[in-house]
Amino acid sequence: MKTWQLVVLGVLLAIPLAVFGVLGTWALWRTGSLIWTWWIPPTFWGLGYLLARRWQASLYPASRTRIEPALHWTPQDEEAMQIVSRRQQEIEEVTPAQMTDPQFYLKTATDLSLEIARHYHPNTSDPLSSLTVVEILAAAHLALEDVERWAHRSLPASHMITVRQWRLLGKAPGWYRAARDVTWLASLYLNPANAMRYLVTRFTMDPFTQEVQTGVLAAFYSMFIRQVGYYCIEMNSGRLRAGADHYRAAMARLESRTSTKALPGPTAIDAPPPEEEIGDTSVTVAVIGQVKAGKSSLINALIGENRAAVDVLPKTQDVEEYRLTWPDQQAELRLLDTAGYADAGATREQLRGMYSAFERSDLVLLVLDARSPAREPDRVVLETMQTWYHERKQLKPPPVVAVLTHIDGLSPVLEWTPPYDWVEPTTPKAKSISEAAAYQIELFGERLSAVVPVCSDAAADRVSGVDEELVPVMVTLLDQARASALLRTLHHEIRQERLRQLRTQALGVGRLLLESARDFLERELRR
Amino acid sequence: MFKTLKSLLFHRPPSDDQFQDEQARLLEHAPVPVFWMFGKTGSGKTSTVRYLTGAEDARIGSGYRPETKHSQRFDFPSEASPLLRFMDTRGLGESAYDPDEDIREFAQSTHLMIVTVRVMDHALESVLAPLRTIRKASPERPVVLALTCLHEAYPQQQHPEIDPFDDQLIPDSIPLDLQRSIRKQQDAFAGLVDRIVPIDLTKPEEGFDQPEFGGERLKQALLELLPAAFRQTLLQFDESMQSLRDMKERQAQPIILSHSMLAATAAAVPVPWVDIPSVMAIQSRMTYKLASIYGQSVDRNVVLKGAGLLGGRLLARMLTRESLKFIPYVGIAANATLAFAYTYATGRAICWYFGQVNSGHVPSEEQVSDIWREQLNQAAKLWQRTHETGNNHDGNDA
Repeated sequence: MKTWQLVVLGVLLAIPLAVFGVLGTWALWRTGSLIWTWWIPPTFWGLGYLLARRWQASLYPASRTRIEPALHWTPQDEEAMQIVSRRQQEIEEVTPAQMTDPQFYLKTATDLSLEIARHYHPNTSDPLSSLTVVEILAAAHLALEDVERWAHRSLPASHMITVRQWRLLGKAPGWYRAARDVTWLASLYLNPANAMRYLVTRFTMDPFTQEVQTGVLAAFYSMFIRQVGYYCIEMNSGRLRAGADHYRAAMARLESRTSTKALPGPTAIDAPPPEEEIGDTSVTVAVIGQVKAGKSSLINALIGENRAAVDVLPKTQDVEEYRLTWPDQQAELRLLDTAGYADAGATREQLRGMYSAFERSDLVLLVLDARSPAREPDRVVLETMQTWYHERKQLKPPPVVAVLTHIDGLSPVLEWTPPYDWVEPTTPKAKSISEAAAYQIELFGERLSAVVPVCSDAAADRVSGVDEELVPVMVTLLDQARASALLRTLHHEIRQERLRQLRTQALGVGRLLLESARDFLERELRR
Repeated sequence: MFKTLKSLLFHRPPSDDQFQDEQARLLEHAPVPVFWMFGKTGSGKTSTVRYLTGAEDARIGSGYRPETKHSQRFDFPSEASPLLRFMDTRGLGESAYDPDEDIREFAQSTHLMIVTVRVMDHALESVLAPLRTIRKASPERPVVLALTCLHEAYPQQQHPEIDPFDDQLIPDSIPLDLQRSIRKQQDAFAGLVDRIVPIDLTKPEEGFDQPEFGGERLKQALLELLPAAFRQTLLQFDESMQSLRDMKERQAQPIILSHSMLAATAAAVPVPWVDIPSVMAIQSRMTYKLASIYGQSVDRNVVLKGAGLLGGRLLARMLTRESLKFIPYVGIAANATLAFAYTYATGRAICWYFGQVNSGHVPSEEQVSDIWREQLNQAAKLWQRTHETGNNHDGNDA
């Protein structure tokens, strides 16, 4: 939308108000009431002006050029993001002359990429040395492509701005504030109501056109830093090793999977999985817990069949795999039933099994027996898992959901009339459940994404909380889980791709050798 | 000797410090059974202690104090005059429980070990490993394995109406899963325990018809396995509690018993005269404690009036009784019996007196005397019975 169009809209909105205003004032003057009412407009406008000043910050929408953590980012990536954000804040120190100088952008990009590379490889003198040429090209390609798209879409009249005009922009102060302002322009396209809001805030403060100029520049700078930073993070995490196209394809795959939000219906489980869905982003769920905590029962309750072996004596020895499909979610879940660890923590063999489950899992269900307060082994295993992921920085630690089983055995033991409202408990049983859940949160705190109390005793027909509470929680975590699944497959594919390329290259070299040998022989023979 | 005689004649109770010293010395000789509670968190240690002592509320929790790095001690009914004592080992199942310190500290001082295990819990390495070490270090200390939380094997059902475990450990009538589970526990603890007792002690609000399922069985096992010298204390406590229904009386009883036991210990010292001030001091302490249970404020005059209305006669009897000590052995036994009986009867009479006062009726001296005499008989019988039974068990063990 051009400025003149905005002006036309503004005028059309204002004319009736102005007419009524004049007529009203005239009427008041005629009836002699103006003496008593003249103070109303200045008082309220004055108050409005003061409040507008005060609320200025909250009236602005969040900046679009701010860097948001991506779903598939690991904790290390999120730390790197801080570096990028800091760079964006430094906009205040940048002079207008710099802002319009192409060399400055090149230098900024180099500095930023070095700083981020140092974050990923803190102990080397030359942190960029381990990157491949393909990666760097891919990062540059992706960043520039994004900035171009953004400029084309979001900067008004960007397709016409020449470098000369661009340089003229470099006059105004207040870069960072202006960077935020530019998002107003973008939001105008999306929601005309913002135009009114914008006019109200702008006209009460400072001239609007002047800031648009500076805003364009600042937003461009901010966007540039954001994209360069973003792809530096992707590059250093090794996700660009297979090239830009491969990366875009993988991200598109993730995006298509993380959009649906409806809950799976009860019939969902029986429907056969569509073949193409068992693709790279099927989500693997590791079910871990102490011996006899109720892992197999929980799996049976989830898949709605009696397939995982359940016994009063410890049973599951190896990792068993079960499949579960939620067509509504386009989700194919693999449930890994792991061997329960004993109270002395997991044995070395169990640990190995569990590590291999971690290696594959995108979501962890930590099964806890609500009747037993002994939590030390669980704490140890969670800690082990954390260390394990800490040592593998390219992987994203999966979200952990604590599933509190056997809640039917909580006090009062003989009562069982589900469902229980444990969030706002009123009955003694609900209170017991609530306390048990609070105890887990107190113990494990931030390591848990959620705590869900369930009863999964299908044999006694006492299944509660699985479909009603656990499944919705798992669904909300599916996006996160898919992001870790994607990351895993991406790294896997990159490895495969490299091997394939090596093979092709080796074959190429072999062919070359053969051909030259043949030529040589032919030449010799001819002689 | 002169000092003792003087303090006796002038009715001067020993000072607090003196009494503390004396009491500590007595406690070393008092037959206070010490139980070593061993089991994972949530395996039912607390409810077992609650059942054995009858201490209803959370006072148990607040009564614990650290004993060793991993253990806490709980004295019932109080630290000053305990009747039963519990050592509670914490942190089993947590990363590194090293039983060495407890083995060393408890070598002489604990008489019986109660291992609690939820019957359906088979992740027990953290219990079994230290237990093996402990058992090896002191194989003579009896170990009772209490298999708890039986209801987890038959969720949402009442316990069987007729307790099937009285005759055999694994009866055919119980659910198959429970049979297999108990058999597995039996195998796991083979050679480590002397007795396996299935129990299920639950709070009343859990809704079980038999909240103390198998409790009697546990008590019997403890009585049979406790060393003879300590058996009688548990027996006296158990027997005398059975007839009491009144809340205050039930609260007072452990205090009366523990002081009586202390008095008996004091009287067993084979020197005449020495024990009289001790016994008197023990009785006056007991009076204070009982008074606080009944919400009566007591100054020294009231004590002398309450206990003292028995006082003159008591003193006279005590003095004659002392001469028995000149006949060794027989004298000592009779002496201890009398000290026990006198203290016990005094305590009971005081309780009765306070109870009557609380219900608005002040009894006459004669009435109190009657009650006292009646209780003296009861006490003598209780002493005799428990010691006889104790000896019988002794014979069985040998």
